[in-house]
Amino acid sequence: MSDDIGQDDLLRINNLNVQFRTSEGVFRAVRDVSISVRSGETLGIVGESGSGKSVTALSIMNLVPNPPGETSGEIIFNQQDLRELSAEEVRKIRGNEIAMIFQEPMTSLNPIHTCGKQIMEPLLLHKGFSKKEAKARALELLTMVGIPIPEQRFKEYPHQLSGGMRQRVMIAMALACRPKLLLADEPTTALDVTIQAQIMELLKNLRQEIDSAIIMITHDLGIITEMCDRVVVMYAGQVVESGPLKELIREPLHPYTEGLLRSIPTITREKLRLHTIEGTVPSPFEMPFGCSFQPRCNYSTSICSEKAPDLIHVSPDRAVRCWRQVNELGQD
Amino acid sequence: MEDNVLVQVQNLKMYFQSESSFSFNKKYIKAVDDVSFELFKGETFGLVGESGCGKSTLGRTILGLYKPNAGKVIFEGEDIVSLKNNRMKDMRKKMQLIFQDPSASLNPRKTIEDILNEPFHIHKVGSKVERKAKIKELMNRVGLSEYHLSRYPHEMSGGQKQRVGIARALTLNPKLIICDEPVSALDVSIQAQVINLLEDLQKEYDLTYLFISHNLSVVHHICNRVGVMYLGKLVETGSHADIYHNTQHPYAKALISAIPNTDPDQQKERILLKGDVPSPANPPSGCRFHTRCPEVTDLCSQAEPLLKEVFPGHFVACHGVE
Repeated sequence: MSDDIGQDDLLRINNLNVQFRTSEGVFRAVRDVSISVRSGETLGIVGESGSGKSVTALSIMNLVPNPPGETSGEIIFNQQDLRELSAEEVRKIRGNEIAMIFQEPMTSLNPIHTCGKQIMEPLLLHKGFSKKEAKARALELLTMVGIPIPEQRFKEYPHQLSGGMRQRVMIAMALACRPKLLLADEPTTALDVTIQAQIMELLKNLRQEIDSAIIMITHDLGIITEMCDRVVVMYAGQVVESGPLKELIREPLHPYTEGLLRSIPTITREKLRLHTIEGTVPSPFEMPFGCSFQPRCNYSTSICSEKAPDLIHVSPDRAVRCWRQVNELGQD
Repeated sequence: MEDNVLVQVQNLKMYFQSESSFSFNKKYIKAVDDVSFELFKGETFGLVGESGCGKSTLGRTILGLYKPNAGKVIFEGEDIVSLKNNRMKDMRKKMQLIFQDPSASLNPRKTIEDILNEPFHIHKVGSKVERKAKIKELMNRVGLSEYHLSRYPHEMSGGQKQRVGIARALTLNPKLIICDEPVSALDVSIQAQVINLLEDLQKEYDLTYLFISHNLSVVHHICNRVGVMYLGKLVETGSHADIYHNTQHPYAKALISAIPNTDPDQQKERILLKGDVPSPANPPSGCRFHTRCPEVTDLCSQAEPLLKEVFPGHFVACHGVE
């Protein structure tokens, strides 16, 4: 893929493939994904369940278990390929320079340790802080993420906190070592509407303070629109479109992106009948021939079911995987 | 009672006794506390609120799945709270429920045909031939084929399972369907399909929906009237336009402002609420929202505001709204 290599790319994923061998056959979860993230920017990865967005995030952290997972491709972070590092070297980066916020704070916090201890852990492990220093920093972090009475919460266990508070603890933990890259996998999906608004506001404010790049993984286009500078749309394990937020929302190039945007009910639009994308996401074991989206596509032509389209650049920062765009470019 | 009212809920209270309490120190969780509203024939009434506000409990109490502590649920002129078992069973034919999680609400050991046959079996309705014909009709209507009848739930996708759930709710020709977060577990592209299907079926079978959801964009799309709940109380009810364009209650305003914006050119003012929803076991005194309300006054912590009609058909429970 002819992705121009920018010097300011913090993370570059080149031709990432992840497949799982199961009793039903080979399940290709991520197919030839190339994504880059610049320092300080917020990149959104949007897709439905099974689109491969979470597996992509997990493979950045080298957290896809092998077996059954088989990974190939390059994940270049700070000029080094994470895939070539030893397990120990990756451990030094994970939680330190790259940190992750998960969807469900209850299952990703350790129930038998206090919140304070869990926030201190990366500081003791990666930064060589003394216990006293780590505690002071942990309290500072709890204050930063907007937890009232941090001294009290420091001593409490995750089950004593509400969902929103737990998610704040997770964010404090992820930010403990001032990571260069923060992976947020559906960070607000499990939360209530008003709490979701609080957490989004918090992330927006922190983004300016901590100056790290964020990869925001979500199925909610509303969150993408509010938070992100650039967007990558994934479908059936592939990147189908990428580009700057406003251009992509205003003028989607891929029929899937267009369909997604038109099928969500919004309160700013009039109550018309919702547009639908017919059919369902194909089973990973029965991928359609040619373009993966072709059976559900309104614009599909004969070439779509014969040959899979490549991801092509229509402008320096916009790419799309669709024969319609290939044909249009060809006519120019 | 007016002719066009299907269900009238009057001062309904549903308290659950909280666990591990001794008899001399009984504690109650007031899941639904003194709620009154009506459902008009053929409308879709949206019930919105955050988790723990009692919206699902209210739906289930209306169906008679819980025995309320006080209040009436008048369905077509008859109070169903006081009905005996046999009469209640008859009544249940007229009201059905669509669940949030289609995988958890279909029996994994039964085929789709068995699942759809069960309501007929329980209520002893129709002959074998009639049942089969009705099931076929419904399968086609919800966009599934006869091929699926011999399948098991695990062989279907989430959207297909939800369609089975909808077909099952329709088997006995109900008048009222309570949809409890029917699209929350579905992917975005499937959500739109199911919403459109629900809208079509409503017209075709003359259904009334009570649509329970935390997603205010979906409610905005599908509902004619909306009720906003907070900690077991209705704080504002009104028409779709009242709630979304003439919002009165501070909680409803905050809820609506919290919806993520899908237009990158629009920057909207967001009202951020402080803190979390208090525990329903120990709700705040006076107005239950006063601990988080941006417009709180002294009166709010002392006296409980009642639901008042501030505009025709638009009710608000707030001291600050005259």
